[in-house]
Amino acid sequence: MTTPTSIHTQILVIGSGAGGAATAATLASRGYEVLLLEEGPHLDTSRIASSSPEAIARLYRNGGLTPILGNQTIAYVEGRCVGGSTEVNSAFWHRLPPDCYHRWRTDAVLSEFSPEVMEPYFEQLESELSVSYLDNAALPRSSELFRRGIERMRWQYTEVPRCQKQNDGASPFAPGNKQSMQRTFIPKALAAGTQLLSDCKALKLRHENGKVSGVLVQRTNGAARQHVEVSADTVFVCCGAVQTPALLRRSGITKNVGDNLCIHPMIKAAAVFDDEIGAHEEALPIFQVKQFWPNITIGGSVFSPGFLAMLLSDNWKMNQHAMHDWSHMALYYAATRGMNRGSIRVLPGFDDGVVVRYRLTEADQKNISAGLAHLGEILFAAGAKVIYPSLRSQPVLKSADQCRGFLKEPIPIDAMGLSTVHAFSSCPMGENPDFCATDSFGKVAGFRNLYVNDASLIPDSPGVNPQGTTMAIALRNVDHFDSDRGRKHKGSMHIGSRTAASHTAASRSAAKPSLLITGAPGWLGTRLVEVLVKGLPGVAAFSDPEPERVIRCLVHPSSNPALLNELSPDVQFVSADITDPEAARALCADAEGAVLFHIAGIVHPARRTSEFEQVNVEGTRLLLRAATAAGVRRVVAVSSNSPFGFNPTHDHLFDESSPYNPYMGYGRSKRRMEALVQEAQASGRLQTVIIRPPWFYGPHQPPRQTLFFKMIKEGRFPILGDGTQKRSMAYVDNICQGLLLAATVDNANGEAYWIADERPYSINEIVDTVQNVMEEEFGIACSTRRTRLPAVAGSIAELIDGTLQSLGLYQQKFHVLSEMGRSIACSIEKAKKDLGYAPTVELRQGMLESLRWCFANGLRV
Amino acid sequence: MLRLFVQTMPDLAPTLRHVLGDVIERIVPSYPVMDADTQRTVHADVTRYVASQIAGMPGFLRLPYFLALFGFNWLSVLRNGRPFRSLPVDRQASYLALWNDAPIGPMRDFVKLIRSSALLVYFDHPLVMRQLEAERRLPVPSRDAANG
Repeated sequence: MTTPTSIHTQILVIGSGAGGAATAATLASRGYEVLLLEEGPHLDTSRIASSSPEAIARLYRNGGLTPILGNQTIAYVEGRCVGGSTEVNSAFWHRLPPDCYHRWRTDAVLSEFSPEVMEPYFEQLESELSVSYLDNAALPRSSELFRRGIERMRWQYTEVPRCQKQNDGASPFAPGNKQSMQRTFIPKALAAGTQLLSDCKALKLRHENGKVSGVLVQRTNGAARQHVEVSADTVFVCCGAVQTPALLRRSGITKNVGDNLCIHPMIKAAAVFDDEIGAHEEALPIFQVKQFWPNITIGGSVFSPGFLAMLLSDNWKMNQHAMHDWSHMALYYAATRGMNRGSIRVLPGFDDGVVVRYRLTEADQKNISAGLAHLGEILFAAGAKVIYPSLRSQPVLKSADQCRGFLKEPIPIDAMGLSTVHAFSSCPMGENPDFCATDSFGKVAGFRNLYVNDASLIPDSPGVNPQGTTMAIALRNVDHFDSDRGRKHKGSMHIGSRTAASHTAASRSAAKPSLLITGAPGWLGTRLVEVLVKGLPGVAAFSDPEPERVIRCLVHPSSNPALLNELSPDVQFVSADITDPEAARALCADAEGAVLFHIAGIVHPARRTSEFEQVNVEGTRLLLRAATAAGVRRVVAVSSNSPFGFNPTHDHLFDESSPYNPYMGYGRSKRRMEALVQEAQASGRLQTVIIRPPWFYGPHQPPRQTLFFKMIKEGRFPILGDGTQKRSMAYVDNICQGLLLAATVDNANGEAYWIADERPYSINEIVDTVQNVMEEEFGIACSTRRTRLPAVAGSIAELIDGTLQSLGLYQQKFHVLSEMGRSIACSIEKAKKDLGYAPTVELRQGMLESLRWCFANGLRV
Repeated sequence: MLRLFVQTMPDLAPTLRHVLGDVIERIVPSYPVMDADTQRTVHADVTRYVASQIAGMPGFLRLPYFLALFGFNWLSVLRNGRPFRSLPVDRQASYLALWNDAPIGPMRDFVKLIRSSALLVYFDHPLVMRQLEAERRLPVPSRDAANG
């Protein structure tokens, strides 16, 4: 066993079957960070026939040998691979029968559950899964005979649609055509950014005080096993009706968990006809008899000589001769609605020790017997010569009368050879505290962040294949989860202003945002909001604000958003940390077509360099994902000079073709941020522009800039070397101009631009200019002294800074000093040419405005 | 301790695999007719498949199954004076039939699992399928012959 590893994610979905895949895909497409775990392997099921021995060995749980114990063992079959049981089932599609809605609302006290609520989900799924009837394909001979029998009996029947994509010339039921999760929701989830980990079994949920913090996972790689701790903000357990309660119970969560298992016990029979059928070459039979529904459903089953032999195996000595007629035979089933409730329990000490129990009742016995009787009647009406039922030590059936005998004298339970492919209801949802394990939307009772979202939730037997119902409920529950999250976030979104009582303000605040901003009320972010609200002075194109523009800002919870409200009562804000995965999604909600200015970043962390990665890289990753999912049109991302290091000479200027040469942790993080933006652009789903401003200055400056003025005033500002090294600086209004141009110029998409003042300045010029402005404009007496240090001081500071950063520590003074002896200057020619950028403020004017702002805001220099 | 034992248990010890192979030999039919080499190949594949199925069972079932396989071999001593593996073919068949029809459910279940898995993979084996297809249009042989 290797060293434990840990992973963090916003949403952890355990299980990639019908419930899990739909959950993961939907959440990821809405901007959530999703990790999808699957216990089984990731095998390409389009290349494996789902009923072949290979599939049974590789795709089925326990190689298809999962027993349900009771007064008669029932073979339970489920998938254990990426895509779950949808990879091995027949892909039958049923909507939830109407009677279930009322019954579940009454019995389980299930709220917000009606045909009207569920209709859109079924419609969506039917479209995404290509649910359709057999078209342009010959009716399978086994189905033709079956239909003939039903019609002769004058019983109701229906063709069952399937999740299938019909390709010209290929069987619609060929493995690659079945629209299982591997061909629908899993690719969708992956495209939306979901991370999929196969061969990962969730062993135990870590939880405390009603909150799940993570999951202990066992990852298998060949014979090697590795334990991984996955922490998550929210966990969705979607392991199916058996494994979901097993995981919950293993984790000590037992209230109404695993107590109400429902199944559809099924009995099979093989019929011999005069004609050759060649059922092994055909698609699955497609008709179902509804005459005896909901308690009994009769239909055709998958056929192969191996399956036939397996059915005959209970009486092999007596019936093996029937194998000679295999090409004249087909398999059929009678499935019943189980009348009892089973249980799921875990054996301590065994990770895979799950005991499933279901005791057949007398009603079950009668239904199964009646099902076999009616199946026999149909098959004999269809022309069957003899029927081999899956009954132990029972004679073969040679007439319809013999079959009808089961109606009077039910088959002994211990003679029945039964199986089931439908299991559900092991964690029923609803508000009935005596019965339900979760609320009406899958949230586990007593937990804030733990959900079940699979067939376990179905309150009782729907009497049909539960895949459709499972998926529709999963989508409904995800919608509820998502809107619930939205409501919570909107709770911290100050929509409108202190004067928001006015109808105009309220209605406008509810409008979709056209501009999104991270990094307000920071230095540049605040000025950008100000410019957008009041106009950009000196730039004709942006001097008049657009009155109908709705701006939404992501505001750090520790920041005071009052300033934004003062700027405009109509600025919306989302109070959240950019490293909170929820923040980006809330910011981008309903922002289709908007422009996002991503300004937030950390330049000088309080102590640890890990913040660079968290804020600048992961924050950007979350934001881009959310922006993509929300349909944001363009992202203008603010980078830095730091990914490029220092100019090789004092005369050199960086341009957009300069190679990356990141300086320290900040530079590396901004380099990675740029890479993420470029990846997003390359995906074709998002327009992006990167803006690289060097050293900012201007109003709304942080305290460090005030300290800069103070040090110059007192003659303490360190000038390394002769002070001729160059620094490009960027007055905030100049940057705002660049940002607005980047947002509006079509051709800027995919480009990066250096944005700065017209020309770089030497350090001496910067210091002299600030001193002059203070003295001449504000009458402040400044020291004539200059603190000059040898250039080597910068190198020493760089050494210390590098050492500290390698230890994960950060000291701002060493970092700043390490840069002071070097030139960091850039050319703005490309921005001027492509964007029409024309900086309007130069150093003296900019410093004057900065100092004015300081004094106006009571800051002492 | 039990858990450790179960989790580190080998898939199937060679002796037990041979027992399993003999059981399978007695179960699978001589139909369709194949040459000896093909038959050996198919039987080896079937044995491998069933062994892997047993090895893939949940731990709490796998352990009893291993014990049952061991017991099946050695309990034969009580009746036949020799373990199952050392019996002649006809006595192996009658001993297997004894378990197959036993009044004790777990004994029947033991045989049932091997039988159903073996028959599934045998008749769906590509070489058997090919032979079945080849015989498809030939006259159906008599049932007595098939029973043999």
